[in-house]
Amino acid sequence: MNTVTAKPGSATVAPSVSALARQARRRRRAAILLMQLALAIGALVFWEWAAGPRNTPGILIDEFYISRPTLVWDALRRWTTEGVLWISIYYTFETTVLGFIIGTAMGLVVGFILGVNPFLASIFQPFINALYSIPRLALVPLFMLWFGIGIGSKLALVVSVVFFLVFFATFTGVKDVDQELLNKLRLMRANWWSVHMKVTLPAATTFIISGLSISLPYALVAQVTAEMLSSNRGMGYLLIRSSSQFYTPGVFAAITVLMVMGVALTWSIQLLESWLLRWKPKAH
Amino acid sequence: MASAGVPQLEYKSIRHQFVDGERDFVAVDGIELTVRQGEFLCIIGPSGCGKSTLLNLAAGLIHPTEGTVLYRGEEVRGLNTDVGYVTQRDTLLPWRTAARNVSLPLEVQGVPEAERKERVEKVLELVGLHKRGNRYPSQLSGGMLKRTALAQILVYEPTTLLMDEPFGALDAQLRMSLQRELLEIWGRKSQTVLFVTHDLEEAILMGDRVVVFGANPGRIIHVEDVSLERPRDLVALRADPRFTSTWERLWSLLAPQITEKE
Repeated sequence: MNTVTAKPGSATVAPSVSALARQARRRRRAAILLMQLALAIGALVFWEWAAGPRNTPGILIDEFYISRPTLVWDALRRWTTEGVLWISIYYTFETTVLGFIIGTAMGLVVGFILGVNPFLASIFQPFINALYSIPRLALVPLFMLWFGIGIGSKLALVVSVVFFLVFFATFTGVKDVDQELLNKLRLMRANWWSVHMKVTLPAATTFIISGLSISLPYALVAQVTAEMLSSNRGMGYLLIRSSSQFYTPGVFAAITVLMVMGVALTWSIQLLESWLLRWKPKAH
Repeated sequence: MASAGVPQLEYKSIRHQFVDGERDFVAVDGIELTVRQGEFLCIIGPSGCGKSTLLNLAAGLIHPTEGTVLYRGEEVRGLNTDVGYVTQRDTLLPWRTAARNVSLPLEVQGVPEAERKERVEKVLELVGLHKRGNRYPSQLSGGMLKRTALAQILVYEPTTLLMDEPFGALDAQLRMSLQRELLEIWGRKSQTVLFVTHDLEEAILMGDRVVVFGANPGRIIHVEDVSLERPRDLVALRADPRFTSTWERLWSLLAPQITEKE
């Protein structure tokens, strides 16, 4: 039983060492955060200081091209009072997420079906590969023809981007499942449905989640692009309207908002990932 | 329920070949073996001699190249879902805690949750894991993983147990307590057990019969009836002259097989 007696011994040493390590990690994290904050503020201050009206003494860059943080802030406040900012954010966000969910659902179902059916997979593979190689933006005119210039064509573009990425991830994950695990469940008299719900799908989760985290930023890109091409709503529309009016602060304001949205979406998928994969041993 | 006269499992002139790259590899050849109902049968032999093939054939995971496997008088064609199989490799689901891994067979068989909980708790206690039930496999030691895998099969009480070196990785004391537990469970439930081991002592102490395997190709070279009475005192028996003489005799059969391989 030396494995058992060894444990209390190591446990009495462990806390102090791990406490020290924790303290060191905390200190390091605080230092990094401080540096990051300083860097961000420094960049903003430099931007504000360097940019200004053309041909003014002491001004390094014409603000027509790069605007200034205070002007960007003013633009955001103007949009807020006009009531256009939150509506646009909401529209872009809603359509992105809705398209992402539809595309994910389709990718999961098709990826799963082909993953468990090697015969079907061999039939469909070249067609899926061919469709996947179409530059998705080339489909926009078609989508507008089919679904109009409203939400329909935007959804279609987002779905067409998300579907393939989730499909390939799911397909690979499902194919990768350990046959021994499946047989084990079958020996326990599990039916087809339980075998796949209890083993195949959870086993493929690692792959699926990486497909999700790759495709979510692309969903936002697709949505904003669609809005820029044809829309009178959303952040992409605000962006293109500002640029056509040579309203540089507006362009920067829209880009800033999109950046924040992208970060928020990525962060939410990471949250989902750490919950779904909570059984995995931690890296450090 | 089949009548007592029907053997639980019969191997009839079995030959099984694998395709190993370009070459054919004969795993087992000329296997004639009848496993009686309720019997504790141990299979011993050098590693890579096809002992596991015998279990895979019984489970219907593979089918013999030649010959037939009969389970309760009927040929095994598909999977044999009457057996519970403790494989050599650890096949727990890493995303389920130990307790939820053990409850898995009950879940797929539609056992109600309250009963499931009770049975899982009981069997975890039996293998000494009741305090570790909420840990994930990645948080368990090798021995604990083995015990969880054992609990997962014991919990649904299959009529026939196939066990492939279930106690191989455990330390001596734990091994002995699990051997005792297994014999006790087997005595109560009268299951049929096929127990593959590489430990001759274990084979003699546990088995009603010991099948000695030879290598290249895997074949049965001897079947020993162990006449030790039950219930057995696993500690006292080790010094028993009947045990030691059986051990010496079987060892003299087994030793040449092992050196021959190396």
